[in-house]
Amino acid sequence: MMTSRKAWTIGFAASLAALFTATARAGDLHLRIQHDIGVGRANQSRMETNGTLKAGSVIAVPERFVVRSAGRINLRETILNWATKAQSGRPGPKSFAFGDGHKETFYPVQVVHPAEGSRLGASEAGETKWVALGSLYRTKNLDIVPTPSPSASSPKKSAGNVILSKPYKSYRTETATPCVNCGTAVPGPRAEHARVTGLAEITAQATASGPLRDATRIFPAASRRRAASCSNIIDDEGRIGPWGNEIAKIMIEDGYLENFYAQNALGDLCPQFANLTPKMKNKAWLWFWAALAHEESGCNPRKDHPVTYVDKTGRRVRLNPYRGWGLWAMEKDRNIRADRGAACYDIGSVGGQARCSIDIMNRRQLSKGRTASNDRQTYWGPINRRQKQLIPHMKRFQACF
Amino acid sequence: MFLIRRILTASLLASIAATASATPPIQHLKDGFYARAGGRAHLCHSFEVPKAKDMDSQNTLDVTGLYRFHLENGERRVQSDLDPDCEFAETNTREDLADRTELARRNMEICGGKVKSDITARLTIRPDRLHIDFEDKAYPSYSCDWVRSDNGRGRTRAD
Repeated sequence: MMTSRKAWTIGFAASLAALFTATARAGDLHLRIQHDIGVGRANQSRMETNGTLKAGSVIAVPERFVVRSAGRINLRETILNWATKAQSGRPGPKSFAFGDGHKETFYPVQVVHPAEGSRLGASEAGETKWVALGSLYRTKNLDIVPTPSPSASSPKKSAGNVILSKPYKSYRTETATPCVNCGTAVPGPRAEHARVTGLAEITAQATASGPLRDATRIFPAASRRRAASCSNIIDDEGRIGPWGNEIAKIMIEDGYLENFYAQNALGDLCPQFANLTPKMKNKAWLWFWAALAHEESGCNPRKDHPVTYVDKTGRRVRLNPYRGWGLWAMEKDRNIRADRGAACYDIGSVGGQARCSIDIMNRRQLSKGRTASNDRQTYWGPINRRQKQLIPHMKRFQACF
Repeated sequence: MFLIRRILTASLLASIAATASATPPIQHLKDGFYARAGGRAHLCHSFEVPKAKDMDSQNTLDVTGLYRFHLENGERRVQSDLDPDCEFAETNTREDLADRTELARRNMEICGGKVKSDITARLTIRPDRLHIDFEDKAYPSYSCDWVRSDNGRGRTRAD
């Protein structure tokens, strides 16, 4: 786990840097790194560490990916937005595998200001750096900083290389400013960052209007009414519940995010998915997980799933080879479940069940370029029988159709 | 000195080879599409055996996504994460015969010292044919049959 965490914080230069312009623009979003991160170079699928970006270094996210909520920059949505747009053919965030098998998503950012003491390979200076933004965001290693004047934002270069030791005063001053009155909301990077750390807050925020679908409207149940406990995932008003928050946090982890937010990830369960804002994509997924949990277990995380049922003729019919457990009918037998990997090691909690289910969805379907509605490879029977079981639920989520 | 080096190199190579061949491949198993030839569709649906290099695991064989067999003999026992009074026991066996390979997996749930469930899945692998016998001590047994389809993704009438 420590190796994974360390890897999360490693940014590295890539051989694909030439695909991007090497200078940050005035409108780009500037982010300051709070703690030192390693810098390396991508050599095809291999990564070589060859430097560091010290705390206080500033990186830039291209303006076109920035999402604002109620006039403020929404960092989480911005990261999701970048990952989503990257699926449309432009060079963008990429997933890299590490020695221990796990994958991380890295974003091609510009280093606007490497703090004093940073070490970057001379040949890489001024090139695009690849940084695990999702990880840095979750570990609170990023601060949004006000975009300085164009003259200040331009990276200072010397024969094409970033000057490593030159202090970047505007950022340094902010870092050093003590918290004088912490009880007062002060507009600025920290206040902005604090606004986007809580997932419930983020999802409750209205996002900027635009061509993307951003309105939560849920039709009343005509036929397949959900169990009341499904509201712990997402309720009939589109409000995200405590289980939903746990699910959403897992889906935005690197290795999952780029697949769950890819265009058409939900397939015919949500034909308009590509036209949804990141916030609405999140809600569409939660609506899906709630629908699936209702069909599998009546949204009961302690449901012990039988392997047989009695059909209309009174005949006992085998439904599954092995007994299932919980919201999404994971295998109850821990030995059988162990074959699915570490994500399914413990399903004693809702979070554990969510992690296992998300991992199964990712491994069997999404990471292989299939959609959630792919019935030949799916783990879940209700997806196979989606016209009868899942589609009626999904059609209540208006933005999807 | 030269001889010693040769011997050391040879032993190193032998040990690497032994490690690499710890899980020998199943000689009767061919990759490709396997169409359901018998059994209930939702328990025995058609599926694809990927090329060895593309398999998710080199130590297990996934059949339809519902069944997974270990390619080595072994036993394991683990505490339940759902009930502190229960544990799960598993036995995996493999038998390589001239005309077929047989893999078996037995899984038991044991609670308070009593066997709560006892299930054994047996997979028989013949060239171009797969067969599973599924035995559950608590319910009637069932079986599945698949035939490898040469023309890629062809389906049998059973589908």
